[in-house]
Amino acid sequence: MPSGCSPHYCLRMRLLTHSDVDRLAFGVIMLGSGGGGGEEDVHAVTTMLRQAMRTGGPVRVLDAGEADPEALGVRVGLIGAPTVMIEKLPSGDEAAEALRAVQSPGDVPVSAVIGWEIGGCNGLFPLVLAAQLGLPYVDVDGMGRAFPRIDQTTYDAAGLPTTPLAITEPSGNRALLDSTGIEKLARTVMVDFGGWAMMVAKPLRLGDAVKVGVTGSLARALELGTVWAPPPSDRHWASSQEEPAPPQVVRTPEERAAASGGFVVTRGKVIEVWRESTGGFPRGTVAVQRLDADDSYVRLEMQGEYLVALADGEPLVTTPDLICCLDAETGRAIAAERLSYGTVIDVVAFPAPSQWVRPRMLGRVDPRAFGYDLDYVPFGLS
Amino acid sequence: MISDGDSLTVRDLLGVGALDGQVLAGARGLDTEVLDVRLAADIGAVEACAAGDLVILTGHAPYLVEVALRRAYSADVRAVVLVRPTSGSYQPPSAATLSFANRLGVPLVQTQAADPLLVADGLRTAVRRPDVSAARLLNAVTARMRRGKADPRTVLPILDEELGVVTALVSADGTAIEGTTPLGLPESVLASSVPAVVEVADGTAVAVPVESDRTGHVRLWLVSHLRSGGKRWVDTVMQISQVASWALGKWVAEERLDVERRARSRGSLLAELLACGDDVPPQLVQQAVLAGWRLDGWHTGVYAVPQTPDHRMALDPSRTERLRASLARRGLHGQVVEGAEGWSFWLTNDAEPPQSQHREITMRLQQAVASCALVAGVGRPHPGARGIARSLGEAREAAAMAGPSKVVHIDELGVRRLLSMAAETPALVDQATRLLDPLTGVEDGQLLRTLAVYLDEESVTSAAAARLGVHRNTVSQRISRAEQLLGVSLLNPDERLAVHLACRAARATEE
Amino acid sequence: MRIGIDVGGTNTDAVLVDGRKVLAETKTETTLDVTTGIVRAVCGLLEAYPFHPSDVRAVMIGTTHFVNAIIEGRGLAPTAAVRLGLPATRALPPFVDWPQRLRDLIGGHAYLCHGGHEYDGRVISPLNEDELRGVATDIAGKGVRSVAISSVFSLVNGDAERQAAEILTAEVPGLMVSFSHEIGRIGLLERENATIINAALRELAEQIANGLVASLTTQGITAPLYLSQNDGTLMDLEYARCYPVATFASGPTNSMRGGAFLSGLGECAVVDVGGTTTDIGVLHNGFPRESPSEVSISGVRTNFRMPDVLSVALGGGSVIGDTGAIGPASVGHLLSRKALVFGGDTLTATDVAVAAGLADVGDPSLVRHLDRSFTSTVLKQVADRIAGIIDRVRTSPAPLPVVLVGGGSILLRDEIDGVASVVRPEHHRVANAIGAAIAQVGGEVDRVFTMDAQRREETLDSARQEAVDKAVAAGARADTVRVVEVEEIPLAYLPGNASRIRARAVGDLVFEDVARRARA
Repeated sequence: MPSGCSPHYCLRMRLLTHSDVDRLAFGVIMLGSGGGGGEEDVHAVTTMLRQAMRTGGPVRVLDAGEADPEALGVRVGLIGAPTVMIEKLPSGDEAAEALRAVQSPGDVPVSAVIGWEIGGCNGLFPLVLAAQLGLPYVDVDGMGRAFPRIDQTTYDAAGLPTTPLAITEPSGNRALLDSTGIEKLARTVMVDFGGWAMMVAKPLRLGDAVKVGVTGSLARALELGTVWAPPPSDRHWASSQEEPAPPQVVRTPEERAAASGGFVVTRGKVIEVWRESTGGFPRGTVAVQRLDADDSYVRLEMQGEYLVALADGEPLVTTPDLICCLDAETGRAIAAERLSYGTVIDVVAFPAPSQWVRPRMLGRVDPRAFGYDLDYVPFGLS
Repeated sequence: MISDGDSLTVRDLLGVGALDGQVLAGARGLDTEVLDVRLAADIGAVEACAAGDLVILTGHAPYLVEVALRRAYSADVRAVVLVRPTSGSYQPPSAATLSFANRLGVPLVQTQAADPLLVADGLRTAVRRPDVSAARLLNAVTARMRRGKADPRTVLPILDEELGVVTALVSADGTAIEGTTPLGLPESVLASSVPAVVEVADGTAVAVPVESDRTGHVRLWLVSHLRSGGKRWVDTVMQISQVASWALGKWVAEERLDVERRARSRGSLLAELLACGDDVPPQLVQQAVLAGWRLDGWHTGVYAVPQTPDHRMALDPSRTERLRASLARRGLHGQVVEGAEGWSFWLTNDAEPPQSQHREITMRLQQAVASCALVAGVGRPHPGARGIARSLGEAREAAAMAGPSKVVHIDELGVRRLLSMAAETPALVDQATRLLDPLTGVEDGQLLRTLAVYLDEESVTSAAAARLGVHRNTVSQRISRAEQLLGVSLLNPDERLAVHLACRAARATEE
Repeated sequence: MRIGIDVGGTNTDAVLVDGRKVLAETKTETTLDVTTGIVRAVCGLLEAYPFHPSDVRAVMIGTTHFVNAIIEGRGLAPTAAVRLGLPATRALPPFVDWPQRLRDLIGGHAYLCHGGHEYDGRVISPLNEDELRGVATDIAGKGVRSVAISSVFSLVNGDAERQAAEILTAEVPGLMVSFSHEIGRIGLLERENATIINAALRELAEQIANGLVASLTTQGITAPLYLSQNDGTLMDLEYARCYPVATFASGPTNSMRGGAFLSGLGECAVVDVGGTTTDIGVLHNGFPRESPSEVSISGVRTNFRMPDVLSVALGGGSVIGDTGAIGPASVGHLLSRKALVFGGDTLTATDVAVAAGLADVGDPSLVRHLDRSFTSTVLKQVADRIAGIIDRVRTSPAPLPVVLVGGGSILLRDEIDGVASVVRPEHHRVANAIGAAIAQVGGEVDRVFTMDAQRREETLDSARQEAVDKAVAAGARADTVRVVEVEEIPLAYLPGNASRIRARAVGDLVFEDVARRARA
């Protein structure tokens, strides 16, 4: 993608309004591939975004091609456990505080916010910051999905600096890291900060970011959300006395997948869930009994995200391609850490951003990067 | 699928103990032969496997095991072995993985070891050099047998554990003295006298003789039940069984000596055998076999008692030996067991003997018992352990009726019995008294006694003389006088029968 | 014997049950004050099966009264939310995601104070007594009578909430306090929301509880009174006064459990066709599956456990259009006046069922004019919609028996597409009251545990035991208690293998020794 923008995902400058938020939230959850925070976690950030837009107005979203290459863009993201964040909620000042920490008074001020990790909660935090600061959001991020490590970005792969890196927490504590191998250090600080923290890296030239980043990912999230977001819950204690919504034209998962560039791996019931957490990194495996074939299973290997889907010992979908599990009944996306026994799910796969599927890039994000003794299987090949 | 009759199957490897593990799934594939062993630290190594390989996987993540199973299946790999470390974390295969292995029919085996290398090394030796592993196994078996007593209770479990087979010590009649006889073991195997390999209900049986008698008849077999096996493995089991059979043979000999030393126990053993009727418990069979008795085949029982009542109190072991020797001299080889009142003895034929045999036996017996001043009864031939009891019972009955004729067969007993019953009829006794009245008191009863003995000896003067210890002329004179006094002619069959009956009746009343 | 009563929006159903035997059933209209309907229902039982009031050993009541109060916004007390967590949590203050209408109804007073804990038990900031006293003064001035206290990670440590309550009640005597750590799960906003709803219902709960006791006492029944909870277990009346929110989904839960009980099936789908809606759920071990996601109540997100029941606007009172379209409008409890067969002027699903000969209610001659092809088209639509939902809730390809309950089940024939067997048990019209009558007592643990990998089983066992102990403490017979669910969720990106463990146990109610018991 020479311009960093496929016609499909391309957005002209537009305003992101309240009415877009729900679709966008569903889209970033899907791009999380099971990680980066589930629906429960994203809801908190969605609410923050609505709050920020209530005071700061709609967020202007610029297509990557529209950005001024010389201007600076700031990226922001949460590090740590979204599950902790929804309990110890943000003060709301963390990101702005962190930005102040990486910018000296004399520096050129940033003129846009860019994405770091479009998948999960971190797909929305930059928009919150953009709304708070009244800056536009340039539609580019460093992952095009969710990944657990700070260095798993196309920015980092291209040699763009991540340091100095500021980490802040709701009580106002902040740390400024400027060393190599910040991953471990950042996590140590995060744990000490109470299980989650906000981080802001040294601002990037928008030209650089757009050149190496995954462009159009916000548009992609909106697209996925539009196709996949289920109608509001029809549980009757929720529906009060209003008339229940008339039945919608229900599209099958296959139809939705076809409409959004993916495919349905299987529909099945979760019959085994095994998880462990070593050194704070979760790892797990799930067996899904296929409902479309007798006595046949799909295995999902997961860490923070769903990383590999195998059918009868044959890898079908591998990271960096995306795997989403949707509750077959409600249509809601289920995060890797929430997938539970007995749930009937649709396992759906989407291709990774093309930036990752290149020989020198794959090593950072393929199954081996996550400790699996498997090679990347090109999307849709098996 | 490569078929190499000389290779070990996965099941064999488990049996040999080269693979000390648990089959978690895929049992369907256990009987495929393993040609080589590979240690796979990653999927790449699994992919490099060839048909016939057995793969030892060092990882155990569910996805890894499943991918390995899938590759193993495609490459015709014979089994996937997981090594559970003795310490540290291990995730046992989940139900989904097991179900997958079952579907593929690839055995998934779990073993525990500190180092997968050791497992690979042991398996490699077993697979590539089966002779070496057989030798190791033999060493292990003999070393363990040396440490313990060489009795079946010790030896059989050693074989079971080391070879992974089910062994039994079986007598020729099919009774398992120790262990369990494999279902469907053909009788012909036990009737033969050479080692055999046969198919049985659930695998293969290897039978090796443990002990046989002088005729070459095998009294005791060591039977090993293999659930399945390649030729190589069957051979190994055969060889090791043979070594074990020698040890067991030695044990049998020692035990028998011991039993003979305690001769009296033979009496009680027989009494027990006679008492237990149709159900002979295995431990009794074991004792009998140890005593050197043969229980299978067709048995003809003989019961001998002293000729004269005054000798009855004088049963002693030396007479037993004399009887045994006397019988052996006449080609009658069998067990002689002394009892309180007489000797039990039986002859065994492999198959049911012809009718004519009993005349032959009776004749030889007559010579044998006569030299020992004994009389004897003979039973009909009956099969099996309980046959001994039945035939001896009949012999005992016959012996009780043995009079001057010294050896009585149970079949003859019918006539004699009729005679003795008739003799006890009151009317007849009455009639007899009157008939014989003329002889009463004559020559101090000598005349009457001589008449009775003469008739009993079928009117053979010399025989009567021998029984009475007088000259045959004396007998002839006394018979003539009696004919005169009674007014009958013993040449007339009717009159002879009447006089004979009267004599019997008279003797019965005397007694 | 026991009495089970279900107070629905339309009908109040009651059953008299002895062991597994249903002795009598009755159906009356729900009254606005709830208690009059209950008195009528008990009288109905007495008529059908004369019994001595002292023979009744327990009365179980399932009611949708509280959830309806929230939905309709009536009877709610002026309520304040006090959250302890500053300086964290400022970005999302209490009521942040509430519909304005409901927030206004209860006052919507939100206070952010210092306090709260980290996930590992460290203190975020100490409580500030002056700050809380200031809140108390403000609350008192605004006439707030009920307060919801929430604190960050109060499920790890509830001390902050309790201490804050002491300070507030010392300043404002008679203030009713609801604690978030006793109501919800992890997720501060949702737990706080549930706590606020609970707080808003406290006065109503007090009135209803007193009314229930009074109405039964007038009948001579002095047996202990229990209310059904969302998960199908019981709470005693004292607990219900404090936690009315726990009754919210007891209606559908009771009809699901009652249907399963009547059919004798532990694994089945239950279809409860009422006047306005049809509830469909799948049961496992006789209990409905729990909803995996947050539940929004009248637009407020909460995270307490709800049964996973799907609901469609389809019932005996559904209005049928000229083209044969069904609902979603319904004549509801006015069925007996508005339906054609009862002499009314509205064509309802019940009329169609009568015309097609599926039911015999009202005057069939009043629907004789309905065309046969019209009725069969309508009924096929009904069956198809329900079959579609059964297919959605199915969790395995294995055939799932379907149990039909509820008065509106006359709309369905005994054959449903894709369903192996359809069971229409006896007493199905009062399945919800039966579900109340057979309810058990439960205990639940939901906490963050720090676990040593080697002692994982031990930790899980202690969680199980805690759930069992809680069930026993809540009045279950120890020998009948079984753990029905254990769930472990490791928390990502945190050291020390912190896991959230949830265990739930249920057991039969002890009838003897029903004196006041401490609620765990």
